[in-house]
Amino acid sequence: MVSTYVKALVITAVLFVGNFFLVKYVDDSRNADIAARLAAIDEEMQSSQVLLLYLQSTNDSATACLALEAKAKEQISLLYGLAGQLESSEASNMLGNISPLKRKFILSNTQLLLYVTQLQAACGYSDMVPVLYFYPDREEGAACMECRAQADMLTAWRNECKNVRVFAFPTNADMAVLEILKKKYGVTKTPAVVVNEKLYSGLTPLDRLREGTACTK
Amino acid sequence: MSRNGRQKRKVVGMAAVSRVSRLVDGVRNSLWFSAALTAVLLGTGLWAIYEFVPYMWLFLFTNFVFIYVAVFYMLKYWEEKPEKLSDKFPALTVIVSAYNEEDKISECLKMVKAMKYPRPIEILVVDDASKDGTYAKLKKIAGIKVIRNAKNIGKGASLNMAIRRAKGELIATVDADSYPAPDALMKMVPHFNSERVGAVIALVCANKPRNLLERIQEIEYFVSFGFWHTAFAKMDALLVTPGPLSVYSKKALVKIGGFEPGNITEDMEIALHLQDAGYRICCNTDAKIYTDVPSTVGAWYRQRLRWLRGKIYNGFKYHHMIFDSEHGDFGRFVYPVSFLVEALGVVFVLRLLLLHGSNLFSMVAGAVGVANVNAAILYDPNFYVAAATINSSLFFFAFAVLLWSYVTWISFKIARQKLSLFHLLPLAVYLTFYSMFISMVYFSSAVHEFVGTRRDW
Repeated sequence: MVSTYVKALVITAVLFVGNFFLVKYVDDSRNADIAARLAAIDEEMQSSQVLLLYLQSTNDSATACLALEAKAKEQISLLYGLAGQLESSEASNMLGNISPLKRKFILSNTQLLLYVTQLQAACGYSDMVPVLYFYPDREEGAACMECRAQADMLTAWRNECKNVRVFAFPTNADMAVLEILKKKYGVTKTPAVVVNEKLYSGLTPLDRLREGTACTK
Repeated sequence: MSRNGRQKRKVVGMAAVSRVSRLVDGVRNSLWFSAALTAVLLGTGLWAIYEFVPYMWLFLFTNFVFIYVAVFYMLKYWEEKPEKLSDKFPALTVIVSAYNEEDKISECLKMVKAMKYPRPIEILVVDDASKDGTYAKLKKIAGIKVIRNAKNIGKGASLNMAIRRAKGELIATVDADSYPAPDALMKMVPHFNSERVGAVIALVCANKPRNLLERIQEIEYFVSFGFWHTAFAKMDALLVTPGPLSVYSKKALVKIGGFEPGNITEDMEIALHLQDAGYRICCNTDAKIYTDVPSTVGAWYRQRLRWLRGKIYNGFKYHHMIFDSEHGDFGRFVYPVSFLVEALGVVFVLRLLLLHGSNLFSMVAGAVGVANVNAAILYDPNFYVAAATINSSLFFFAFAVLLWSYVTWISFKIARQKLSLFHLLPLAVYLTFYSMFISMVYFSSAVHEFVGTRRDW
């Protein structure tokens, strides 16, 4: 006859494993949504890059530039929206692995940033103001009130000015490209914002960030 | 040096040692020393836990253990274990030990005298040198024998003195702030069906709970003395014979030498002693005793500190029973697991406090920074709503709460009590935060035992 000790162990294991998989399912579903959005942005970006290559090869800027810039702005917006989702997913995740998504997010952001630079060079003129926002993630991020406040300010700025586009970079990820960006702009603490190649460390009022920057309503 | 001189030096030396010893004792028992050492140990403990205990694994392990313990005792609770009851009602003595209980002693004795029993009950009341009017009240009560101690000797020693004078084969001890149900003895005594039964315990209930703290304790008592004790009794593994009301075989008490004088939880010590000597302790949850529970946080904290310090002290005294299979399920599982659960609770709660404490500190510091730049942001509810996330670990927590809710529901059934709306708030606190407070008191108790401060009643 099976002893109560073993019976209890089996029941506990079943309950525990059931609970474990339920949590894993919830976490994975949340991550799958982010992964799908990232994949969609990636696909769009690939098609934009092909168009950019076409533009660079043919110099047919009159038709392509405006369309490409509008598309780039849209993709940047979508990516910036994902930053918040990624952050909250990381804070609430228990069993799902968010790291690959975060790496992909940072790579897409960097790719998009470089693409915008290329686009501006190819088209000659663009009113787009790329704003780089560096914030901490994981537990530090959840408790960083200043980062939350900075993100709120940047969102308000982005919503007000159509030409302002924000690229968000979680700083705790261990990635070479991120290190290069941090080194380039001298980011040592968070939150940090780079506008027109100028670094603002710590929570910075919007008025200071907007100085010398045009706003297209 | 002359012999006299050497003797004089020896006396002076001894006096100096005694002075130093008194000084050390004084420092050790001072509040400041205790507080400082608690702070140092707390700091070191917190640092060690933060550095070396990964939150996720601790969370999962603690959950697993708690679920296992709940499931195990539930299975034991459901196990059928018919017990043959005796139809004999031997001579019985009720002993009430009182110290400064002038407000309660009359009511207590009124209820004791109202207890039904097929033969006359001898009632011995020990007044342990009360400073209030307890003795004056006792003198006016008919049908009891009063023993008055010249000086306060403590509950254990008082009970022993009364046991020596008792004529009954069975000894029922009743706390002076407790009020037995009329049929309690009739339900308990039949469990003395063999020489092996050393004691029988009852269901301890909170007496007329009024405020929130008392209502939480009412639920806690149903669970502890109802559910846990029923399950423990099925394994012959009861850890305590509660002070409010327990009936003992006088033979067993005499054989083990009675209560330990000076022990601050003499009711736990005697139970462990009976277990150690191979006696059975039975439980009848239909027999009820109502006891006054602390109504203020301070009184509650002092009571729990005493209980938990007593548990640690008794744990050292009876450590040989831990993992000793000679003592059956008691040694193999119940006794060691009772310590494991409490130790895990302490580590987990400290880790939880550290996690949320450090986050809260960062948030408060950050909020000051935000206020310096644009305070308006802090007044915007969306600012907080957007940041709020529900961690997946809440599923585990919710599951554990669900399981414990079921245990609580069973406990209400055992106590034949109906759950009402009045129970909702105390139940919510009991199932969520209350055990955390208990864990903190446990930590504090461990510190007090480590420091060696005086064990006060």
